[in-house]
Parts: sequence; structure tokens; C-alpha cells
Amino acid sequence: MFSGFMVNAWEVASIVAVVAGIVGFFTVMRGSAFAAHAIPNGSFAGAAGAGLVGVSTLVGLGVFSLGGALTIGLLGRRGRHDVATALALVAMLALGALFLSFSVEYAPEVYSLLFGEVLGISPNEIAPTAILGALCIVATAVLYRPLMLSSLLPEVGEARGISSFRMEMLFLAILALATTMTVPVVGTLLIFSLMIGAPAAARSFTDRPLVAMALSVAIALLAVWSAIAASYETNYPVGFFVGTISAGAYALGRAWAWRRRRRGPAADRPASPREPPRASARLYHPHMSDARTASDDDWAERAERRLAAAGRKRGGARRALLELLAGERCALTAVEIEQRLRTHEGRAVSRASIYRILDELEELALVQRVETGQAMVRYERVCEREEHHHHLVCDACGLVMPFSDPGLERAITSLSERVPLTVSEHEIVLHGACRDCAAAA
Amino acid sequence: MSHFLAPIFAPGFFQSEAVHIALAVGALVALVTGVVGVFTVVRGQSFAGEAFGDLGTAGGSGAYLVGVGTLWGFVLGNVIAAGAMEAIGVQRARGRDLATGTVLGAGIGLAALFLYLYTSEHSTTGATVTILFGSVFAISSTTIPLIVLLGALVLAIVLTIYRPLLLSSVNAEIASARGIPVRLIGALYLLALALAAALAAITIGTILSTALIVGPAASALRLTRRPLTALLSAACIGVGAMWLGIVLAYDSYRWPPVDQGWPVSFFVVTLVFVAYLLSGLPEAKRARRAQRRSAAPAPARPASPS
Repeated sequence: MFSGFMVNAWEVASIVAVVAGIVGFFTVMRGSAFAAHAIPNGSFAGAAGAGLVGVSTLVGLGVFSLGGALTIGLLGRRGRHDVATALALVAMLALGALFLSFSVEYAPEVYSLLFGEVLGISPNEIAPTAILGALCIVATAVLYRPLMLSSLLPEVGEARGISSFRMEMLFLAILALATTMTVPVVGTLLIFSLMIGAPAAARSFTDRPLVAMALSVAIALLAVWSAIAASYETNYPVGFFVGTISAGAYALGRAWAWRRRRRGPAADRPASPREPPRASARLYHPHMSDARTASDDDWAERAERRLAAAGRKRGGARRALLELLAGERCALTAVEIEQRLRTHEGRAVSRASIYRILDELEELALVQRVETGQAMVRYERVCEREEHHHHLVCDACGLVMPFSDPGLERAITSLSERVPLTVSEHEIVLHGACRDCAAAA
Repeated sequence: MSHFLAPIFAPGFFQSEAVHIALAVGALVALVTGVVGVFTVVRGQSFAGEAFGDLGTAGGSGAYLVGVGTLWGFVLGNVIAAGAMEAIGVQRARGRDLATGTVLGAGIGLAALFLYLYTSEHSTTGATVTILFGSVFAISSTTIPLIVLLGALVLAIVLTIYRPLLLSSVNAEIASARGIPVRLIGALYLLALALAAALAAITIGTILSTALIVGPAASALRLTRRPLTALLSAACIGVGAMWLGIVLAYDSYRWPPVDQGWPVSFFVVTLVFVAYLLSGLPEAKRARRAQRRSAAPAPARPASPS
């Protein structure tokens, strides 16, 4: 298993796994799984075209993957991103079909291009793979901080002068580079499975970026190595094993995260079920409002870490308040916080302490004030991007409900480009009468 | 008249039975995928549509292996995949990408295995290309009843849940506030999408099937904001691209470099892509005009729906 041609396979596959683990980590964090699927898949047309024109496969792959990445980035700037990706992909594939029909002798190679032929790697393919792989890793390392910021908090990144569009283009270029180096040796499937499965699994195990990245590389290496060994023993295609193992790793990660979520907060929660927070959960999916999601725990943990880093003293009152805010999806006043702490957690915290803790959290950008135009200021935790929401306020009974609307966000984004102000944040409050009050009137 | 149109319609175009079948089946499939596609685009599930296309590869190659009709393989593979995606949580925006990607990765892995087993058993590689790139000319008349049945089923599903589906696609929160079972509607819709993708796969091949689902719908949605108009124009664009593609493919038998015709799937997809690019023109023109207007000091104006 370790002799002759197999040595090449082990070496190249290891390089591919490392690159896939690192680049894939950003892919998963940015939610670019579709692009990571489209670029390698579409670049297959380049390989087919290269055979037709008579240039090296690597050149064809490079041109098409880079061209595809640019098309996705540019088309995605205007219009829907996933639609742009899908259409760029099929356009490239259609060209591939055309090229394929012109060259008769090429057909058997389609299979190996799409599904990988890792066992047939020749020694002179190792050098270009290694060089391109090193280039990928260096580019990711150089861009690490801005890429991270722009992936997690694009608005903050924009405010600091990091253009989201430029970051997206750079990232897609890295993706194209990774594609060029990996597709000729392992096929489009292998690289995609590794780029999604391994980092997605890693992210379920840990929240810390560098640890997750290392774990993602480790999982990718493990998947590739066991896949090669299994393929060597059974003669079945490597791609099959990599796909299955990656999916298995992801399933394991999800199971782990689920168990951790179930055990963690449930232990110190009183046995009585929480009463629903008035009507405020009404606008959410039924399955979204139940219990807590991973991001809630993330928030509480992040808050504790940031507070500790800032040298603040721990306290039971603060812990209880964090727990409460983590479970809340919408803004609360200090008085409401006081009441809920008393009824749900059975803990009496003075109003002064609550204000003090809230000030502390606000200073560290962990909670934000929401000005609803009512007598009291409301506070809510600073959410991640996908949970960004606005508020409906009933002026009759004071009910505050969260709402979110993609169309509104798009409108605001396009408006921000036209106004003479670098927009860093926005907040919408709609006033009116809630349905119950409107019916009563 | 026929003399006048000869450069467009190559001789024998209207006599060939393969062309008749292609025109009829192509129109039906384009109609179904156009309608389903509008919701796919609005719901932002293009990736799921793409995944079905590729997972159909696993189903199709499995069908080859067992020796049943390819369409059955596409349907079965896609329905199973829809179930898996639904179970992992394709409904939530968060993690939807990963759910789709993981199912997709595992599915292509299976496809690799099936194709390997098939080719090593029969020592032909034709199956790979046939499944992946398909050809609407190669549809046999025996599969037509099944195609019609599936098409009707998809349309029936979409029309039955039309209103709740529309509302829950545009704003899931409001839909669930009105008591619409958002999750059930989403699952039914995913089923419709899976079947539509199977139909698209049999006409233009598994890896190109996304073009028929996403392309016409995305173009239509750039032209109009009204849901019914969008459905109709998506269907029209789809059928138009399909028919024009068939005509061009038939003509291309006389074209260089090889006298065997260019693949019909290539024409259809290219036409769909061109339609999408063209559909962006009115919007871009509006945006440019708005920019020029905002350059001059003008009062803020509410965006005008056309």
C-alpha cells in the first residue's frame, strides 16, 4: 500500500487535504458552499476545452475556474448570489458538454475528472500541486484577519475600510486557485466534499477559529487517508469513500453539538417550563422559538470570554443576566429583565445592578440599546448577521415584536450606496397598534 | 413558405418523430420547471435545485446498474435526497448551505460508485456522458406517459399550495403568524422541486438541469414583480429557450467541426443564460437613470415599482 505509485497518491492527497481544510474553513464560515461546488464543477469545461485546443489541462482549468469565479462575483453583486452562481455553473458546464461532443476520444476521462483518479497520479504532478497549494495557504494567511472580519461582521469590516466586494472577489480567486491545483489530481467531487464536510464538522466541535481550522485540516487528512486505504483494498472509487466519510464526520459533529446544547443549559435551569415571553415569539417560526440554538450559547460564552479579557469580575447576578439575555430574541427593558430574573431564575437582582451590568455589556459591544420611542430604553444582545432584526412597537400596549425582511435589508443596502454617508448600522422601528389593540379599538 | 423558412428549419425538421417528441416533452418540462423555479429563486434554494440535479446522477446511474428506466432513478434519488435535506434542516437559512452541501457530497460519492460498478461490469463509458449531459432527442416514446404524469403531479402540488407557498416564501414569519404550517409547505415544495429536477434531468442532463429551474425564473423575476406574471413569463422563457435550442441543435448537424450535431443541452443552457443577462438590462437602465437623477440635487423619492 505504500510502495511505488501509491507514494504519489499519499503525498498529493495530503497536500489537497491540508488546502481543502484551510480554504474550506472560510468557505463554510462565509456560507459559500455553493461557490465551492460551482467553481470546481464548472472548471471541468476548461479541462475538456484544453484537450480540444491542445494546451495543458492545468491552463484550461486555471482559465475556467478563475473566469467562473469572476463571473460569480460580478453577477452576484447585482441580483441574487445563489442564482448567479447556479447560472455561471451551468453556462460553464454547457460549454463543457459542447467541447466534449467535439472531441470523441475524451469521453472516458470525463469520469476521472468529475470523480477523481487519485491512484493514478504521476510523480511530475506533485510539484505543481505543492506550489499552487502553498500559494493558496500563503494567500489565506496574509488575508486572514480582514477575511475573518469581513466573513463574520461585514458591516464592521466595511466601517473599517474593508470592502466586502473586494474580499469576496479575493476569496473566490483563492477558491479558483485551489480548484486548479486539485481537480486534475483528485476530481471535482473530492475537493468539494473535503471543503464542506471537514470544516463543517470541525465547527460543530469548537467555536475558536484557529482550533477549528486545525481540526478541519485534521479531519480532511483523516478522511483522505482512510479513503485511499479503503479504495486500495476494495478497488472502489476514492470519491465514494471521501464523500461518505465527510458526510459521516459532519453527522458526528452535529450530534456532538446537539448533545452539548442539551446538556449545557438544561442542567442549571429550573424544572418548570418557561412561560412563553408574551406574544413576542409570535412572528417567528414555531421551531425557531423553542429553547436555545447554538448561537445563543455562542453569545453567552463569547460574552464571558470578553468580560474576562476586559478584567471584569465574575458574579452570579451577571451570569444569570447573561443566561437570560442569551435566551431572549428581542429587546427588554431593565424592569422586564428584573421581573424575569425573579420569576424564571428565582433570583432577586437590584435594578441598580442590572443597569450597571448592562452598561458594562454595552461598553464591550455585547448588548445594544434599542430606542423604541417608549419611556424606557430597551436592551438586546448584539446578534450575528443572520439574526439581524428590527422592531414593531405597539403604541397602545407597549408590546415590542421583532421582525425581519430581506427585501428591506436589500433596499437599505442599495440606499446606503447612494447616500453621502458611509453607513455602518441601521435600526428600524415601526409604530402602530398591534392586532389585539387594533381589534379592541 | 417552407422554402422561405428553409435556412431556419433544416429539411426534415417537421417530419422527424424524435423532434416531435423533443418539442412536446421539452415544452412540458420547461413549463413545469419554470413554474417551480420561480419559488426556488424567491426562496433562495438554487443550491438545493443544483444538488437535486447532481443527486439525480446517483439515482440515474443506480438505475442503469439495476437496469430500470433512468427517469425512475432520477425520481427516486431526488425524493430520497429531499427527505435527507429536510431532516438535516434545509428550511433554516442558517446551516442550509451545509445541509445541502453535505447531502450533495455524499450523493456524488454514491454516483461515483454506481458509475464505477456499471462501467466495470459493462466496459462502456457511455453511461456517464448520457446521464450527465442527456439529450432531449434521446427520450423514448415509452417514457412520455410517466413524464406527463410527473409534470401534472408537480403542477398540482404547486397550484394546491400556491397561496400559502407564496406567502411563506416571501415572509416565513408572517406566514407562520397567520397559522400557515410553514414547515409542511416547505417540505411539499421540496418534493415538487425534487420531481421537477428529475424531469429537467431527463431532458437536458443531470448536471445542467439547474439551468431550466433557475434560469427562466430568475430572468422573469428581474422583469416583473408580480407573482403570476413571473410564473407565466418564466414558463414562456423556458419553453422559448427549449424550442429554439431544439431548432438550433437540429440545424447544427450541418455545422463544423464534426458532422454529428452540437449537443442540444448546450444550446438550451446558453439561451437560458443569455436570457438572464438580457433580463438585467431594463433594471440596469433604471438604476443608471436613478443615479443620474440623484446626482442632481433632487428630493428623496420612494422607489417606483414599474
